[in-house]
Amino acid sequence: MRPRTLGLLLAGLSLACAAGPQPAALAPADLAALAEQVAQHPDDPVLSLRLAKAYYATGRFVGARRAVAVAVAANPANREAQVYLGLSYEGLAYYDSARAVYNQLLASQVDGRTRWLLSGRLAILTRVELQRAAREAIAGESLLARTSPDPNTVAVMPFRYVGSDTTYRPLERGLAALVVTDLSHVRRLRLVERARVQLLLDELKLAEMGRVDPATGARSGRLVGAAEVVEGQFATGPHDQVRLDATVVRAADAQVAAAGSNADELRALFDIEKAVVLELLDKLGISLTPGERVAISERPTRDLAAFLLYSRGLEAEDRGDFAAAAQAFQQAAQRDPAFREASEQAATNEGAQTMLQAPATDLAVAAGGGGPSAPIGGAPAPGTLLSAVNGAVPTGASTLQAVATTSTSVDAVASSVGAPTIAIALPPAAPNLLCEVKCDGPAFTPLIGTVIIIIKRP
Amino acid sequence: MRHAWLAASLSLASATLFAQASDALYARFTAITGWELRGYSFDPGIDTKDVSQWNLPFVVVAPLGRSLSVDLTTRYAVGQIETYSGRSATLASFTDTQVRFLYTLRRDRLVATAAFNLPTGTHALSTRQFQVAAAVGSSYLSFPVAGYGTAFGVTSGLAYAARAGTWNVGWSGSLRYLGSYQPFANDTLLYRPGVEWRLRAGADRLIGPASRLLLGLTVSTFSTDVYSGSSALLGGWYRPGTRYITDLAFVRVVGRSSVSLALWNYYRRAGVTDTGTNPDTKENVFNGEFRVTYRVTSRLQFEPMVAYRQWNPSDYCGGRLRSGGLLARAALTDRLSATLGGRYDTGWILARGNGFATLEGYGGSVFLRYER
Repeated sequence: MRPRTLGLLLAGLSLACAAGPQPAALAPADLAALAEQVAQHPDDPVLSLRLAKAYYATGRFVGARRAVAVAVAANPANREAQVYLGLSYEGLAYYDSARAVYNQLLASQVDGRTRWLLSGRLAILTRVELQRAAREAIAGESLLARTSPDPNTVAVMPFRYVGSDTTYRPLERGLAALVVTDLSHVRRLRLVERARVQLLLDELKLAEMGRVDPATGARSGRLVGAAEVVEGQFATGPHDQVRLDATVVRAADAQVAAAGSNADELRALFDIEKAVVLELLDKLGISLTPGERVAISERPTRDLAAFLLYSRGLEAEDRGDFAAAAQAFQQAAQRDPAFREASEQAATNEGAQTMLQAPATDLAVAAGGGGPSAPIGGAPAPGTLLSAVNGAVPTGASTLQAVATTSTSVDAVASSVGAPTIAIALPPAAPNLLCEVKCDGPAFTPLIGTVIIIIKRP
Repeated sequence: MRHAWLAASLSLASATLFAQASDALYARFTAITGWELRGYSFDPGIDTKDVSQWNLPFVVVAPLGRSLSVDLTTRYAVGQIETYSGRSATLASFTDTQVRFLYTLRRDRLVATAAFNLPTGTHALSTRQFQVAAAVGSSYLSFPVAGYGTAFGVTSGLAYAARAGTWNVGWSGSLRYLGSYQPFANDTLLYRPGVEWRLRAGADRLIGPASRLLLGLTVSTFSTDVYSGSSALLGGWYRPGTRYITDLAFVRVVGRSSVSLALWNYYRRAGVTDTGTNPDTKENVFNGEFRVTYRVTSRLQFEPMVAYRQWNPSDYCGGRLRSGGLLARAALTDRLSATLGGRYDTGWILARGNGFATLEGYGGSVFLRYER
């Protein structure tokens, strides 16, 4: 299986996992009892959220969404409930709705960790959404051909590297990202996200078993709804020379609307790219305002090595390897701390990687500011009360319940449903009364301990 | 017979009422039974050679209607002691039966309890049996069944939990009354235990998304126990020292596993008799335990552990234990689960004036848990 395919599968799998039983699932009897409770107290946000979590854990997303809606309606500021709403939407494959919920959360005053996890969740969600959009576009290609795209919409293909030094191959994506950024400064143009284009290309390759189509650019443009497509290639030569060629292809008829090229030493790569972009814009007859020209001339970094690392990050991100992407972006940001895109991408990919590895409900935990121990509405976790009860009136049942429990400390930490108790064996709750004074075990058993000491013989 | 009837009644009641929606603390019917063994062997430094105990626990937990639940516990326990001087004794008996009713006054926040100690165990012991009772009553060795029988008793309690920022906090208190009983089979001595107050404060919170910290402090204090009515022994009184149990646990989820560190310290102040304070009754037991819970499959998990315990009676170090063990939990069906455990201990005991001995401990258990 190709790495890119694997990456997409992993990203998809992460959402599938989010839909799986993440919190400790309630037993059917408990779930039924809880549902009955909610039926009797339909406006109780605490119960509703608890039921939503239980439904979510068992993959019953319709029920989860319905139940959590009560909690959100009762307290729209309840972030834990909002996250469960988003997760339920994901489970139902309503990705737009999930995105809206997460974006709304991001816009609120959430802490850094929650923001980080939300960014990661959104990154995964974006991949899945784009992948689905690409598949739908390919499936409906015949319909798309009869639809005119927005004339100012531009898609940028990855630049093809035609040199022999594979070190530079990641720049295929880096240069495309750079061109997207530059063109996005032109007010009249609307750029298609680079990731959308890349995922479409991945899907096309999947669909066509790697067959090369000469009109791929135009076709891809039509599939992503772009009127024009920028595509090109670059090569490195002797003496660190690099040459960049680019064309703008009309998606409607695959005709070249503009072409530009430039060559210089590798260390002037950004100058080469800027020159090509300006040439293309000029040939397309687009007049730039002074502000747009200044914005285009800005470089994300002065450090070519940092940019190469950043490009490697994009490559890893495209194949769904968030861990490798985060590492590459981090290295880029370490080389050039002013490289804002690298540090932002590092954080996003770290968050995505965390969300891939951890239960999706971790996001609810972080957003709730206490997660399992903070169900909603200020109620404490059920385990706290049980612990208090057992502390004051301990019985053998409470001890054995803890030892022979079917739940585990994993559940106790990660779950907010059920009544988590952590099996800590405390000292005997009911000491031998007759041994209050001097029954300290076998060392004293030759004596008749207590009585001898407490009660004086005549 | 009495036990069987009681358990059957509770089962029937719970079966009738279980289907109802419930705010009760225990929402499910649960029954636990099994077999548990614990024993220690000592070298000849002290007279005691072996002490062991096995027991069969019987536990039923059930909701009784919307706000009420109940748990019932009794055991059949067999304790044995053997000495280097050739004496041996066995104490085999049912223990007292504890029935605890839990009434939810406010869901997740407030619970009232009423617990009853039913004197189904053996409380009047012979001198030989008392040796067993004394041995298994050791705070240091912590046998699962520390006492076999007393008298009818009632404990009332109230527990409250609330949020305080990112913390969950719980407070609880209880008052225990225990009736008088005759502890010796061959004497008319009457023992009237004093009333016990118990207070508990606990707090827990998440630390990050994958860790939980739990803290607790339990204080129990007592009124005066009175001994009277013996023709052979003088009466007297004894006021046990206040007990303080502090506990701390930290649990962290690591992938499919969790690691937990649990520490508790049990401190008992010196008690007072009618002749003055008895400093020998002061003691402190510290226990630390580290566990890893590894989930092999969704139905099977292993839980290795290592533990350390130190006992300080009076003002000296009276023993140290190092332990290791393994617990396996398996879900046999959706309703039936089994827990199988084993442990080994090594350490020593020093009883001032009675000798020093190294010791080896062993334990095994198998529990079956049925839930509906």
